[in-house]
Amino acid sequence: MIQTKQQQDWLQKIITQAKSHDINCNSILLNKIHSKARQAVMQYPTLTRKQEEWRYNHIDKLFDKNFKLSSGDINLHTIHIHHYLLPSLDTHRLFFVNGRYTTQWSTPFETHDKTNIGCLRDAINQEPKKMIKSISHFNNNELFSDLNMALMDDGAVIHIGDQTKIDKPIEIIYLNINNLNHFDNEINDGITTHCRNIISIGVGSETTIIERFIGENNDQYFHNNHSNIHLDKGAKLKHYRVQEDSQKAFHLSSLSISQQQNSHYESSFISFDSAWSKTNINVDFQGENASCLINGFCVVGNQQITDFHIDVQHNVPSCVSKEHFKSIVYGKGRSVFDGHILVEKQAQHSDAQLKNNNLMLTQDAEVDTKPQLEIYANDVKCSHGTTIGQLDPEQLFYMRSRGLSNTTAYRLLCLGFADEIIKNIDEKKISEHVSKKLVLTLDKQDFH
Amino acid sequence: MNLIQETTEQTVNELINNDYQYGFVTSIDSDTLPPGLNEDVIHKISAKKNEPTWVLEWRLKAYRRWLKMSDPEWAHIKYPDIDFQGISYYSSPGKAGEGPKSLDEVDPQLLDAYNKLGIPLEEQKVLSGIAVDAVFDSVSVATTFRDSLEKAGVIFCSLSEAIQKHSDLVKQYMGSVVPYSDNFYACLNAAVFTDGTFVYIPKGVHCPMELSTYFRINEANTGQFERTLIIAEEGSYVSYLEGCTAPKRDKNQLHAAVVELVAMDDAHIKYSTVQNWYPGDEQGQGGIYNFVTKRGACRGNRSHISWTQVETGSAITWKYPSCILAGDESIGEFYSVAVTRGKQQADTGTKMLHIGANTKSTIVSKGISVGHGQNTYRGLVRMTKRAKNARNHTQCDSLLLGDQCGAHTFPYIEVMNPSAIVEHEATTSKISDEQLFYCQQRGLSEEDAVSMIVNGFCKEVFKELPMEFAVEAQKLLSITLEGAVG
Amino acid sequence: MLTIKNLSVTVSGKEILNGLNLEVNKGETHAIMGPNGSGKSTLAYTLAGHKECVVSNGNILLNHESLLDLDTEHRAHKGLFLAMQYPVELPGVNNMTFMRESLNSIRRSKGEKEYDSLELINLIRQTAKQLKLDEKLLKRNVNEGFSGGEKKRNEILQMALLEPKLAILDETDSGLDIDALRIIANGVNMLRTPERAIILITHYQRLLDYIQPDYVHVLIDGKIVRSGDKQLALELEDKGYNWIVDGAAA
Repeated sequence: MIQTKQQQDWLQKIITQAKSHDINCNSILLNKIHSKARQAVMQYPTLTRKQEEWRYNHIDKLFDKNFKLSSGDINLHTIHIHHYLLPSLDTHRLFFVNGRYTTQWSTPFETHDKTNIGCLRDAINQEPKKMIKSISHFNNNELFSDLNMALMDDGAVIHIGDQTKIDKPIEIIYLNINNLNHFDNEINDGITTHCRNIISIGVGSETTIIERFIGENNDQYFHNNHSNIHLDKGAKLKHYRVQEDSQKAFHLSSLSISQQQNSHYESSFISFDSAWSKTNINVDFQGENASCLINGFCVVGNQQITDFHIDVQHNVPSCVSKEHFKSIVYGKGRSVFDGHILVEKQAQHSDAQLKNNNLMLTQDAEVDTKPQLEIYANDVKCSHGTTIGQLDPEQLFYMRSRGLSNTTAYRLLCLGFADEIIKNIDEKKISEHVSKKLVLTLDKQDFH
Repeated sequence: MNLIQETTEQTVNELINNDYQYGFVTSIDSDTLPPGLNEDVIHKISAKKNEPTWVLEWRLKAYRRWLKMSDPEWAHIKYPDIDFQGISYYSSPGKAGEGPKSLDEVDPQLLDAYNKLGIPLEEQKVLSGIAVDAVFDSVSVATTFRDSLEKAGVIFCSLSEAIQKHSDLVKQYMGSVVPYSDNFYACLNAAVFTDGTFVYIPKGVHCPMELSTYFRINEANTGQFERTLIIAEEGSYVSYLEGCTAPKRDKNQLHAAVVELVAMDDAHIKYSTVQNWYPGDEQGQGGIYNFVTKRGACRGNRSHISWTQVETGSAITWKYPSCILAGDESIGEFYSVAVTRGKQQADTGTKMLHIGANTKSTIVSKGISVGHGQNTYRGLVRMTKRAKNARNHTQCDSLLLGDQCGAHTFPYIEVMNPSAIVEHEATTSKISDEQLFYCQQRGLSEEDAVSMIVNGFCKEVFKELPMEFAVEAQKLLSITLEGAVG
Repeated sequence: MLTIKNLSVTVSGKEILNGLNLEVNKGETHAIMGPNGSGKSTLAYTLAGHKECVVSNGNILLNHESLLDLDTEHRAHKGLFLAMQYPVELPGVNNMTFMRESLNSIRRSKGEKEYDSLELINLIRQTAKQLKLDEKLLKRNVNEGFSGGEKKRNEILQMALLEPKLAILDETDSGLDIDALRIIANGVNMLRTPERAIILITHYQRLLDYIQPDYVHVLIDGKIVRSGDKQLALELEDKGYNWIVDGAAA
């Protein structure tokens, strides 16, 4: 199927803008990767509702918008940094504004032979061949991954050597603000930014990574974020991701996680706000006895749509995967969940559990969920469980009979619902922040 | 101590070689159209059946639509392209023209075929009290117990006869649940259906007996395109049994049936199926392609439609008996056991569309994969905006016997109403060594242990079947699973 | 009746039993005691023919016939019964059906007439009553959702029905409170006959207060290191297994 004109034009326009930015890029190798991906982008078929991937989250919403690619030329003076930092959260910070690393607000990490924490631009400048080699190995297979590759000019690079423990969490902040760019008075629907992160954790090493996505007020923008994460033998990564984009934001994240023997990946995906959000998480077990624990929680209201796609592939024996995603949906919010577990023939003794619980608070809310098991091995423990419902009227009545207001009762029950996920966040500052944000979000709503 | 291991392999081989018990071919004269499909063939089918013009027009409309459609590709099944021009679309036992008027006129070879299947019509009449409308290939040849049903006001006849005698009813309801354009195979069926069953239960009537149709596919290269239409008027009840076996064939045979159920206020339709068509040989050659569209409309308030199926046969099973729960407080149920062994593939499940308030649905699906069998549950539960306080509970369990098979679960859940409650659970398991050891320690053979544990696994579904069917289903399951050890 | 000669058994490649000898005559009750990991349960599972217990040496004779080449169910047909420490749950399988299939398969193997459903229901009910077992358990699925005590009682009921020649009770006392223990012990005592041999495998002396054994054996490191009468069990309780281990070493 060839691309519709709408899709073709949309992609072509952004790529044309990217080409005009390329003049600033002095890496021939990077140019090569860009141009290959740009060709690939145009080869994808039209994305439609008929594709399982886009069944519930309609891509037209995105293609209807006229986004302008953010250039490196931004004005940082108007930004009040303290609005965006969590007080007393002590981290190695990588700060990206409109997709571009800013040294000003980042807390650089002293690079030594084993470990490197920094940005993609620097990494390409310092070790062009090595970086390009690792980038060109990435298998995108998806339009927006290739688009990310076609447009990327920055992102986080975290390379932790073998047997290393990083003293404090690594924090990556992505801030997107519209009025920092100087466009030639051209009418558009906001900026689009693309980050590519490359993360590898060495043999037996341990790290915590916190990612925060922040947007300004009512700005509309499209942020496309792609991470390639590799855990070597026995590596442990704790990964917390908090999405607090603007209410009008379009957000697309893809994470490809590959895990070697005995490695452990543990993550929490928390999502608030943004008008349109889609997160793809792929876990690929490459060594035995690896495990992953992926939790997620989202609050979806207004006209929001929040979409999580999880794909866990058990290719080798004796790996454990546990996913638990919860959503609270209200207003005209729509929560979409698609969880797929594949257990290949050779992956005996796999243990795969998937849970998805949804709470609908209002009449116009919608939940679409698709928990899938595809099992080709017999000696496995696989299950999924899904629930969709509302708050228990008996519980609400009980609380109100004790004098609680309706709003308080809702708030407490919702917090209780969310707590199962939030409590798994080991970084106390982050879990507190998420709880606070949840209370604020719920307090703004009138449920009756 | 490797003895048990060896026994396992041996019994698995035996299982794989367990020849299809009902594989025989009856040779009788038949009035068969040459292979091929075009408007002329449809005219001929319609003319042979002496149909009113509206039926012919409906067929042609469907055919023209079908030409623009393509074979669905989304199911988790693999099969070679079907040559629709290589199929003969009409086959009638006996000479062309008039059908037999009584059992005496039925071809003795045909009756003998039924005897081999263990369903002697004569005896069955007396012994089981079940009225049998036997469909041999495409035309109904014998209908029994008509008298006592007539007294109750129940119409139970072939669809061809209904088109002649109850044209208004057929015209009103046929295609109203499964429109001719619904999907590729339903559309093909609408164009070429040859016969099927028609049931009408008048207001307030509790059908005095269980109605049963045995389907048989007999003519080589004859696609079967049955159409069943059951209408239950206000406050009525009917239990319908559908059982199938087919003779052994080398070439794949296509079966694309359509079943439509309509339940009015307080009506209850119970539809049970035991499907044991030829699954193909151990290389995956032959076997029935079973592409069926089954759908029930709970139109009335408090109406109730319940589908129970035990699917052990066919090379490919593609079927999703569904319920449209339009009436308030209506109930939809789906209970399924699907077994795939050898090279069998099944992609089956249900759709529950909740439209009315306080509607309820229950889905219990038990998939059993043996040898190289691939078993998929695919289901949709949709709670629309109007479906206040709707409820669904879904339980999908898979049992894997052997390490070459697969079990897959693809449920879609769409909820647009906050007062709805949906619960979905799925598990995958095998028979544990400890369970087998325990049973064997108590003196049971490995086969008996497996059979007992699998029957236990299916219990929730079997208990929904009418008594005679439940016994047959258990027997069938035990034969199918002989020696299969996980 | 049972002769175990120089038996060595490995489980997942690890040697658990190492040259074990034991002779049990009909009408006798033997207690086998030993610390955790000494191989008590392995002995029970080996006798019943569990495929994970690989016999590397020696022989097991039941009434002068070797059991080694017999499958688990054929050993059961010969009259061997194992009451398990953790009886397995069989979801959806009715307890009554299970017992009927089990009893009839054993009767069939002996060329005896199978019971019809009615005879069987009466027999099972009667037996359950004798053992003071709640009849409701019969209607439920095999061990599914049973409490620990109910599972053990269900084992004793099956033992009573199947009338084995040799019954092995593997840690039947574990996890039971004193009342449940008494009921089980009474059941077992009722089933002691001059024709039947019983092997009690237990960690604690406590059970032996209720079921008096004729012989007590101590199993350590896959071997019987000491045999005696009831007195030995009391001494063990008093002095602990180390007393024997040290004694054996000396």
